[in-house]
Amino acid sequence: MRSVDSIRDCLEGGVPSLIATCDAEGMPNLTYVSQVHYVDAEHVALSFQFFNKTRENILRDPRATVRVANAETAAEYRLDVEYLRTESEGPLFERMKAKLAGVASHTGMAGVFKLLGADVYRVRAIEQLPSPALAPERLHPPLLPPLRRLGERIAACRELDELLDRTLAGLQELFGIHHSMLLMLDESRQRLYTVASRGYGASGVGSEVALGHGVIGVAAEQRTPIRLSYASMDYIYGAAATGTAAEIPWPGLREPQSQLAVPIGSGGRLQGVLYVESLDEMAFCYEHEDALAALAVSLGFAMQALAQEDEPGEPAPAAAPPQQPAGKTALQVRYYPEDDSVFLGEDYLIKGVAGAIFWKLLRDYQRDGRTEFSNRELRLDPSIPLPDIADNLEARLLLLHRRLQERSGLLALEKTGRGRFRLCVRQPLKLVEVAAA
Amino acid sequence: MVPELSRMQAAFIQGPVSISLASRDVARRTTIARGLSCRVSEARDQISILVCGARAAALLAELRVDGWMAASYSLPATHETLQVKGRDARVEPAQPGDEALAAAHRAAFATQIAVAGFTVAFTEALLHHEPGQLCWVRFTPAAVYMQTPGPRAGERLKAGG
Repeated sequence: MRSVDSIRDCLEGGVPSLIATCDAEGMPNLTYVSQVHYVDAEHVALSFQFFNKTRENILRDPRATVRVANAETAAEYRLDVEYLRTESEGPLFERMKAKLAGVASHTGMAGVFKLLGADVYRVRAIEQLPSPALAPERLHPPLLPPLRRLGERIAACRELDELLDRTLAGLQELFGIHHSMLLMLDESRQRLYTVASRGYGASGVGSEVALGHGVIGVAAEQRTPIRLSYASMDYIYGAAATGTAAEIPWPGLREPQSQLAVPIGSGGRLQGVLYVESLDEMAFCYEHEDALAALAVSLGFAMQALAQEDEPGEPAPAAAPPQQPAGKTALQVRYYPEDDSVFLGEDYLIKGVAGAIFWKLLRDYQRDGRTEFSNRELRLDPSIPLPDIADNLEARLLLLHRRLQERSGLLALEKTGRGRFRLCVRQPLKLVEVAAA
Repeated sequence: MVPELSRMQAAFIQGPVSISLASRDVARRTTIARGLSCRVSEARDQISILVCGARAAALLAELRVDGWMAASYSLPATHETLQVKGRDARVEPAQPGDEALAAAHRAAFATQIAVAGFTVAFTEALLHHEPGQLCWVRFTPAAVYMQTPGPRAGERLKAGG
């Protein structure tokens, strides 16, 4: 049998699909389907939005015929299908819900189209209907060559920051994707934080997305790629920015027309999300989803490998006397233990695990004059609330490093070797811990 | 007797809409084909849909055995959709001038979907018919259903309403 893989382009929703069923008396019924969604080589899922005759019929007799068409070539296919089940939650449901939200707002049906379930069908046969189909024009260059080249670049990276930056630079250079972000999971807070971005006015490093919120949050929560080909208010971040003091503004496009978020995992655990967006409608197709999902696999294992290679070769050197910068007024650094947030003067810097790490560094510096630190000692420090298994310490240090780089010329982290770094202080500090009210 | 089809519905299904037909075989497996033009009789008691005999071969074969069918009409710009069902469909030969009817419907439909970015070449391919293969599927409308997406989708409409 022809695989569903070979007709995926027909499932992007460009030409409305129809389903034909038969009732108990033998009367045929025809209904438009908002979405015929690719599940795998042998299954599709149809959007279930209304209780109608189709539903009544397939619950009685699961056999149906679906007609789909390629929006580029006009080639039409008949799918002989058999209804299996309805899913009303989970990865498939969320993928279809997001896609439908985009289609709904694109077609003026926001508020009318609401997904009640994903009806999963086994595809028994696919037949191309006789027609003078047009020659297909490639909508985008082939994606395997750039994927291969980016994979090679990823394999050559020796540090996490290099890995993240080269990945996003590669997406731009090799795939022509100009707006991208990498977010890491903070498991204890059920949030994702931005560690790298490309193509925006402000980097937005440190900005956060709650699990389950928008394209990125749903992709992370459901561990599945989420893709929208049209703008939907339900999935846009800019509109929902709250702008409280302890928040970093979301750097993303205000009104992306296309969005794709792909989870990054390794060893059975979610590490983060790779997110790309575009001002063009239908910028990303099934093949982009494939390519980025494959990329995310490489990325996940590369992140994991780099995280395990931070063991320092020698113990931390003895504390050197602090080179107290003299003759300047002290910079007040405030720390709020309730959420580990840190403010430099009046400016919010960071919170969460990265905030707790920073506070530990500053206290050690103030007390002992220490400036040299190792990743390993942070990992073992009881005052830092790292989750046990996948602590993502490197990502948190990178976040802290980048926030300091962006927000302060007075404090910095400098790498001094594998798994080692130095705290650079260029102004006297006044540390203030603010107890919860 | 009030015809099933109202004047407005008759005008709608003869407009620049997407037309599809469904039939079924003796084992009740369904078949879908495209309609290339639609005409309603003066008394609104007969609907005739032009199809390509080559492209709709399976549908025509099934209708020759048993005339139960459904026809769906949808206007892309508004999503307004009607479904009409019949139990007496028969296949009738084409007449001189039917090619022009098909061409006129293609042109009108091409204009409809051009706003969504579809080219004339696309519509020509979608609504193509083989030379000398046109024929009509003619039936008495037995029931009309509202199928515009929304809470009323699937509702049977009153005769003439």
